[in-house]
Amino acid sequence: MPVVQTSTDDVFINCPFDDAFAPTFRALIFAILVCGFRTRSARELDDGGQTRIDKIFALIEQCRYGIHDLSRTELDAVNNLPRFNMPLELGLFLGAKRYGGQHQKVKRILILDVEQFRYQRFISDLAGMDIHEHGGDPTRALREARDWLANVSRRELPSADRVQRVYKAFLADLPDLAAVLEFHPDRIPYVDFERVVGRWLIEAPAAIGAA
Amino acid sequence: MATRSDTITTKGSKPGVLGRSAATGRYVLAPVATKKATVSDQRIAAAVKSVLAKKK
Repeated sequence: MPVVQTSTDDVFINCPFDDAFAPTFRALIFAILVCGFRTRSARELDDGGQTRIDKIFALIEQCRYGIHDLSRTELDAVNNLPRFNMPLELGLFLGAKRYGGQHQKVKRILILDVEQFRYQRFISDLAGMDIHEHGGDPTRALREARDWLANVSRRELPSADRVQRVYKAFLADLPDLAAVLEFHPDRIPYVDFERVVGRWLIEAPAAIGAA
Repeated sequence: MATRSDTITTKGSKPGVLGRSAATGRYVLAPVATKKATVSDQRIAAAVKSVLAKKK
């Protein structure tokens, strides 16, 4: 069986894909890209070929880092049932780290939730792990992701304040960018959004990051 | 008895670099190309340049 090395640049985002969470999802994508890493998400998967779970196995296997958000515990408004994909993918990531080979054991995990200790009431087996709280605020999620990446990667990253300033400037440009590209600003597909962020980061002037 | 390993080490795909961000000093990596974007990279680049140019 092939041994796949994890990419030290790849960060798997495991989070809700609903409209209410979209601003936080975008903030996480931005934090990863602005810090010089690469986003990976089930959103990048196409519909052909292997089963979806096999694609998620491969995605998780390839990523050194994983950001897992457990915000969405409430029942789905349409089906009145909870969404289990996020806990499942967190479990897969933890399993890869625990039982995988040398390249999997060095995986690093950030778990986010709206409250730091709420998980004790719905996924108490995570007791002892350091859950980070964002309070449903995309900016806090952005800063948490940046701080965590700086900590686990040991890379010199732009400060959280700078990342926040640059993100604010990007958000100010986003409606115009969406208009030129003929997207609804709240509904830019993931694969396009990460390309827009990447190109904007390359082209934006240095003054945007200045205090 | 000679043994043969059936493990193959495959390097994870090394991301391409899009360029360097002047605002942060960090390199920006190209996204994974597993799913095709709905608009071209050229069109995105043109849109970004035009929006930023208006703010100068």
